[in-house]
Parts: sequence; C-alpha cells; structure tokens
Amino acid sequence: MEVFQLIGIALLTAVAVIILRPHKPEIAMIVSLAGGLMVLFLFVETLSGVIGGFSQIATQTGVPITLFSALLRIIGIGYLTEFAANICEDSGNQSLAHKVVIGGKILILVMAIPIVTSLIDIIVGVLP
Amino acid sequence: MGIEIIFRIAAIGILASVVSSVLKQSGKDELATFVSLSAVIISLLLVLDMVADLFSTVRNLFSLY
Repeated sequence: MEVFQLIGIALLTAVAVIILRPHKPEIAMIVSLAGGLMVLFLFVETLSGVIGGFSQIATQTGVPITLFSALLRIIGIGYLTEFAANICEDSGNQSLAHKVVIGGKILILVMAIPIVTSLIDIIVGVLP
Repeated sequence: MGIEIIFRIAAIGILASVVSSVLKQSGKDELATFVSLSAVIISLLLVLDMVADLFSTVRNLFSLY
C-alpha cells in the first residue's frame, strides 16, 4: 500500500530536517523540499488514472473537451502552487507563501473565464 | 525514486557542518564558508533534477503547456 511508503518518507524527512536544522538550516530546507517532492511523485502516477477516468466520463456526457482540459489545467496549477506555497512557508517566509497562493488564484481565475462563459451560454439557451 | 536521495542530502549537510567546524577551529574561516557554500550548491543540484522531473510529469499529466 502506498500509505506506508508515504508515512515512511514523511517521517524520515522530518527526522532529517530536525537533525540538520541546528547545524545547516539551508540544507534542512533542501531536505524538506526533496521529501515533499518524493511524496508528490508517489501520487502523480495514480492521478493519471483518475484523470483518464474523468476524461472518459467527459466524452460520454458530451462535455466539450476544451472545458475539461481547462479544468485539468486549473487542478495542475492548484497542485503546483500549493506545493510551492508550503515550501515557502516551511522555510519561514509566510508572506511569500501568501503571494504564491494569490498568484495561483489569479491564474486559476484567468483559466476559469471560458468555463463561466460557456455556462452562461448553456443557461441562456435553456431559458425561454 | 528511492529514499536514498534524502539520506544523501542529509549526509552532505552533516559532512559540511563537521568540515566547516573543523576548519573554523583550525583558523581557516574563509575555507569553512566555502565548504558550506559548496555543500548547499551540491544538494541544490541534486534536488534540481527532481524538481525538473516533477514539473515535466505534471505538465504532461495536466496538459499545462
């Protein structure tokens, strides 16, 4: 099961960071970055299966493929900005983490505009 | 994608701190800062290709071109 691998990696990274922090805080931050990357790698493969299933559902129910790919892009942006924001927060600068989150939200907003417009078109089409 | 990269970076960090403290004792301060700086650079390079790998997989997965 991946959950044991996940817990093992997380605990090992935490121990390594705690050991390194008093002597070399900068390398401790790099160790926590590497640990975070390892955890993310565990789940990127399983995510591809989920996305394949969703795209199948999308094609069956007639959702236009552009909307679905925009949705996927939004999830990807959220995924990466969350990762970067947590790394910045770990290394101590909270304001940078909040700025990364705000930037991610703006990017997602830009991506969401076509979805909203197509939703409005559908609603207008339904109304008498 | 084993665990050894975490141990490798931790070992580099500990080694760098030991070497720099020894150098500081023996009076060569600039060499100590040089050693700790190179340790940081080496561990950054190690992590850098992991980050590039993650970005390429996420780009392919979410079609983030």
